[in-house]
Amino acid sequence: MYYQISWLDPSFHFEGWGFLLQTMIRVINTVIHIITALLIFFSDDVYCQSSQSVTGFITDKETGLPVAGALVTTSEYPNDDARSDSTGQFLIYAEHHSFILVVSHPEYIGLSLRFDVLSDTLLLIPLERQFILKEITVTALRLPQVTSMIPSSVTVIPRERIEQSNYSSLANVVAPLAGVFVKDYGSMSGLKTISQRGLGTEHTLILLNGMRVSSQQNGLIDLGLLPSDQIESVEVVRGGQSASYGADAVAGVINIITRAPSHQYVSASNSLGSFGYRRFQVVGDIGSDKNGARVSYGEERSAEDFPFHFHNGSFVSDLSRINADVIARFGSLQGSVPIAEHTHVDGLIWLYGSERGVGGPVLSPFSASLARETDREHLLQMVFSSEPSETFRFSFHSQARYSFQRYRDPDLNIAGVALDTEFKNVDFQLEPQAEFTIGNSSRLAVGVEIGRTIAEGSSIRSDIKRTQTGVFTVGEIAMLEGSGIISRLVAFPAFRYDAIASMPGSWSPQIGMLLSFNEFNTGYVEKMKIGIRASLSRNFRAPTFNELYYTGGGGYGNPSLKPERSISFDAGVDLSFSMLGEHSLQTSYFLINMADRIVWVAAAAGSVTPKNLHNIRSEGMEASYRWSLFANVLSVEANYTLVESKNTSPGDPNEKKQLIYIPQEILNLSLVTTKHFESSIIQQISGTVTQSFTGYRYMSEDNAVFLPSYHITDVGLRAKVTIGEFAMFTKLEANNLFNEDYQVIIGYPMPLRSYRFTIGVEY
Amino acid sequence: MKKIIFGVLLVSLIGCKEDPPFPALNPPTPSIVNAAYVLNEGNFGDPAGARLSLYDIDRDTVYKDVYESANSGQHLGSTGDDLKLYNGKAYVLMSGSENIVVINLSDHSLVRSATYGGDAPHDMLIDSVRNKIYVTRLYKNSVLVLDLSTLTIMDSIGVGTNPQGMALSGNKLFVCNSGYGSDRTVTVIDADADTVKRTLTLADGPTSASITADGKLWVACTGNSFGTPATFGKVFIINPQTESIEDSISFLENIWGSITAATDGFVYLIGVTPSSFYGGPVHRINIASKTVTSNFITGTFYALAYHTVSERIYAADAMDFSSDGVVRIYTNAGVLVKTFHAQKGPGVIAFR
Repeated sequence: MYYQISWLDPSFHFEGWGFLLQTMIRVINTVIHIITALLIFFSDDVYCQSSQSVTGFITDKETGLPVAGALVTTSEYPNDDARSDSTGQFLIYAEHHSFILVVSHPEYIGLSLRFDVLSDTLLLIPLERQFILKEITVTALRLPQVTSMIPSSVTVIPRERIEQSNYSSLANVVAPLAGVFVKDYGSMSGLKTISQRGLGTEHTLILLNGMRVSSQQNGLIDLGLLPSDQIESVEVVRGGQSASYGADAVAGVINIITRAPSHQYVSASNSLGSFGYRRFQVVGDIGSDKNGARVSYGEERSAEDFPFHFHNGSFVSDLSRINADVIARFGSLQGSVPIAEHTHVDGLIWLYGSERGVGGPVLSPFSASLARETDREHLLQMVFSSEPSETFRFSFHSQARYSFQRYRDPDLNIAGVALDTEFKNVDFQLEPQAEFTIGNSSRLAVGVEIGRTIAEGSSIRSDIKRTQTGVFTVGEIAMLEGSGIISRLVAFPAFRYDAIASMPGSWSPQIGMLLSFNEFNTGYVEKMKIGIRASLSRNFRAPTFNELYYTGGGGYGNPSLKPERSISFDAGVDLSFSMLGEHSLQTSYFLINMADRIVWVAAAAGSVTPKNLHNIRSEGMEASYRWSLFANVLSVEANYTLVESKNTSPGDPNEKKQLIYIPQEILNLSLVTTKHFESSIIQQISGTVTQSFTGYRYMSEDNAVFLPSYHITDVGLRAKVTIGEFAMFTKLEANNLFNEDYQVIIGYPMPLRSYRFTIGVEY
Repeated sequence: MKKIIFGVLLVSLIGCKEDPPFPALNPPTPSIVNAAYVLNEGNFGDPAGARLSLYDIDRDTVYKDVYESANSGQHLGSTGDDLKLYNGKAYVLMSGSENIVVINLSDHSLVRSATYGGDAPHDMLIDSVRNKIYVTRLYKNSVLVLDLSTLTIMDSIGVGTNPQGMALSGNKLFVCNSGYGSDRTVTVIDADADTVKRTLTLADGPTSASITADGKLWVACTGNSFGTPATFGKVFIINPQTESIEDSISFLENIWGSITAATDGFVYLIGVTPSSFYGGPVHRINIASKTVTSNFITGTFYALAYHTVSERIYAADAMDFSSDGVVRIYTNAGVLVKTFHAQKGPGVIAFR
């Protein structure tokens, strides 16, 4: 974080002078920094001691707009303060040439700056807005909106919080969220899929920059394959969203926003860790997020031969994981170019490839799988967006995607051939969308989503081509504004029709309501805001290619499958207030009733096939709480999820039983501290302690056997120091600190305590 | 320490539910002479899923987790796939954990165990004359030869694809090469030399075999409902001496298998119930006339055995594999006389 000072501004712009000239200026600036520091250190008393005025402007770091009402004091006269006016300006007097300026504002991260001034001085001080979950704009909806103005339960994880997460994949970023359970098949190479609101992985739609990337082949996306370094933010929208996104948005939507260029810099980092873990990454940024590019490349590998305990009754064997090694390479190029006023084009090229061992379930002390898996994911996105007026915005998203997976197991020989299967998907998507602002506060979006997927592989019927077209309209209608204690009453109607090849058309209506009250103070509680929301929607999941056309060993697809249908309802209360810091609390109740759930059952001797068989009722509540203290230096986060997800198929022997591998309870606690320093060396220190409790999970449909609950504690420490134009950051992680011996899925042991250390430099 | 700290937080914040208690170990199962042992596969992928149940025929009593209760909670392994009783011992084969456990029938204590990592053992046959155990390797297209006393590997014999059931006639071992419906052969092995003598071609999916009282080999072929063209099940009658096919019986549906030669003049086997989980009804074939009584016992059965002493048919219904299966006992006239609950996925029944 760089705080700009006018007379030694390292980020002074020389647009058009070229990179070389800028580099020279930076070097000169650095030299000036060093010389000045030396002068101050050795010659403090050479300056005259007369009083001088210090004038400054305080601005919002992100928008550049002036910040009014900021409190400014000096170390000399802490009681002699000043406040910034509507232009962000303040005036204060200093007796000595060296003093500490303290700036605070309830909505911004406070800071202390040490100044050494020679004469009357003008300071430019940009402030960074506090990280407040409820006010972050969510783009995972067709009409972008701040979180407090959305009729669904939403969580946004910003970049800062991602950096505080341990490990290096998206799975670990989303795992601590309310309503989320990551099914982890152990080790870095093991599959990691998400379960939201008591449903399956295939019921959560995954978006990348607003465009669907969930696999049509198998409905899965391995969250372990998505490196968190590449992610700017993650938006988690809970509850059915088929009215906006069509198929598969039954339990919710997760939108992954990739990192755009932020400022001109080059960085490189390297990580080492337990079990042969190695990772390095290089990143280069040029320009800004509206006119620039970001290129990155990374490689990650691990032997993953971690020790674990194998239990057989009272007998315990100490073993090491076998064939769980992984090597992954990833690269991206992301850029944005303005082509006219209020019009720009964004592009992304995303490349990923991995080779890994598939350790398989550990069924005996001698289990030794030889299976291997290869994955490739190549993606190209282009987004044209234009905002010709304040009441009209148009965007055109396009995406081309290539997915490849090969799985081979020399130990699994069927009909004389060792198992060796692969599939390729080529997917094209086009999404034109127009947004209109109607009147003062109502909005409407209309759009079309056209997708075409071509699939081929050794385990599916050949020449599969699926075209799916969706037409949608999403509205935001202000019904009441500023009436008495009510701030806003807003309706969110949405409607979508999907036509998917070989399936009946699907109508997906949705209605959401949001009632927010005016901010009020009461006693010690200040700035109390309350919002009440509810949403009711009809959703569906389209059968995957495997479910429709699988022809591999042991099973056969069923081309007659119907989409799964569901009705989703959720309602909640969100509130925030100030009292010894900032508090926010989000609570939700949800209910999802699903019919025609697809289940694989036996068709003939030794073969299985999927059928629309089961009904599911998933009901529960989520509560998320955040307490931010000392201007966000310390925050406490907690969330709790209670889920009852049950088979409601009439006459089924397991009717009213909890679905397998759905924990009824999950509790996450995090303590996060981040301290920014305006020091010439240490810039930031942060620490994170997370504790998670995951309740027992049934392993059998009759709920007779279960895997025990577990507690996991992770600790992470980060520090960032600057030396001239160089910034160096380090991160130390201790995962599973207390050596919990546990499995998320039976047969897939999780690592005991492990460590990782990362060091990186930025220029 | 961490659990205490976290427990305080839990109680103060919410009070999460405690895990249900693990079931206590049953008292050791007594030695029962007139017993039906049931090997239950267990949940797929559960390292401790295979369980042994025992039905005391005389006292009409069921014992569960027989092995665990006699061996301090130690488990058999994963996916119990075959069970043979011989010479006061039970030989239990687990295909998931790839091990064989030998149990003393007098007190069900562990005698010996051996693991065959990567060998995918599936079915076994005890050759008491030559003191050997033959084990089909489901995904390795071969048969392991083990020393009956030590369980050590003596040899490996290449056969057809995905071998499953076996039958022994004199010094000839017949191995069903199922190919999951794509193989059509039975391999004949010289049990003295442990070498392949010849390969017989039958029909799609030879899966199980049994020797009738008249010394003939009966082989059940599942058919291949997903083949091009689809084929139905078929039963072959083979003369082991001449190694020639003497007769065959065609079905107009697929066959699950578990062909069982009884002493009442009939052969029993399991068909396939359309749209069901694994298994099907019990069909009966008259050995002399070759006439078939389809759906002799209706239901969806996964395992079948004939109790010679009482002349009763034991048929196991695995239900949906997710709850405890049941074993139904019928007279050889097809009258249900008794039902008892075994454990998850009852797949093999053997009598002491």
